[in-house]
Amino acid sequence: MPFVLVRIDDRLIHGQVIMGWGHALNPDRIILYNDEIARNPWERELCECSYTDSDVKVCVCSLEQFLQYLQSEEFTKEKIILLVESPKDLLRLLDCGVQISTVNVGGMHFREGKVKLNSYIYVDAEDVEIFHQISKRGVKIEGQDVPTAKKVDVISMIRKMAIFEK
Amino acid sequence: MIAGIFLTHGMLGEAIFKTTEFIMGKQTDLYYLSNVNSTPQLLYQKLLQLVDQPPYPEDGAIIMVCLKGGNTWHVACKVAHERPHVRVISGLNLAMAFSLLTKRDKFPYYQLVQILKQDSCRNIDIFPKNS
Repeated sequence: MPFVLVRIDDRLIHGQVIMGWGHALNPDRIILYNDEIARNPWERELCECSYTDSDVKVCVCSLEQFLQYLQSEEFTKEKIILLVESPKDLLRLLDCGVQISTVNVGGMHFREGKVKLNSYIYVDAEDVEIFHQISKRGVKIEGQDVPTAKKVDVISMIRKMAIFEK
Repeated sequence: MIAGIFLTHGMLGEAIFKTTEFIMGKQTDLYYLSNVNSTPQLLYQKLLQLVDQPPYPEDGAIIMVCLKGGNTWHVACKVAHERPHVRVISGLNLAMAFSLLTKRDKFPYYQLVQILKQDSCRNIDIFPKNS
């Protein structure tokens, strides 16, 4: 699988992704899997014009478009950064058979009802439940906002802090 | 008066705001916002609150962001998409800020934003010329 990074980030594409990860990993393409943006032509265009200092292609895909892309010849040749907005979106991809070994959690920011794991990861009961489901499928879940930061094991943090335990 | 809003990563907007005031004196209708300790939703709400204040719906507002493609850019574009009196320009630098402050009483906001682009690019140069 040519994913050089699979990242959960509620801001999707932004400075850390473009300047931090983009330059560290040198991808051919950044894919945003997001059904809502894929349906909205202006927002889609806005995201697809985000990368300005090299020829990295940025594309927004609906689930159907993303699965179609995985079958294409381009997919086997390209280095890809895949961005999803939430753990729920990642689980949806796993449910569709997408093979992912490690997921980077780079930004799940504060919202009402969420509990702080660290400065860039806030979770609620649903997030925790989904993270456990993702982990049970053998996917390693690492917190790391920028390439130079230390990686943290998200499941260990959740267990250590005993958040939303049943 | 057209509103000028520096919307940046980190403290850049505040630094440019303070530098322009240091050089040109106290300004009105000039603001800065940072994405530090803020979410895109919160920034979006703050921007709407700002640009909807009179007289900006009539005079216009220009949001100057530091990096095209960054979250400040996305939030600003969302606001401009919903408010016809708002324009967004990326690549904020001091030349752009000075252009805004010296020309905003001479042009409507939709022309001014083009002038800001020209002026800020014109300020980027290389010396020696042939290097």
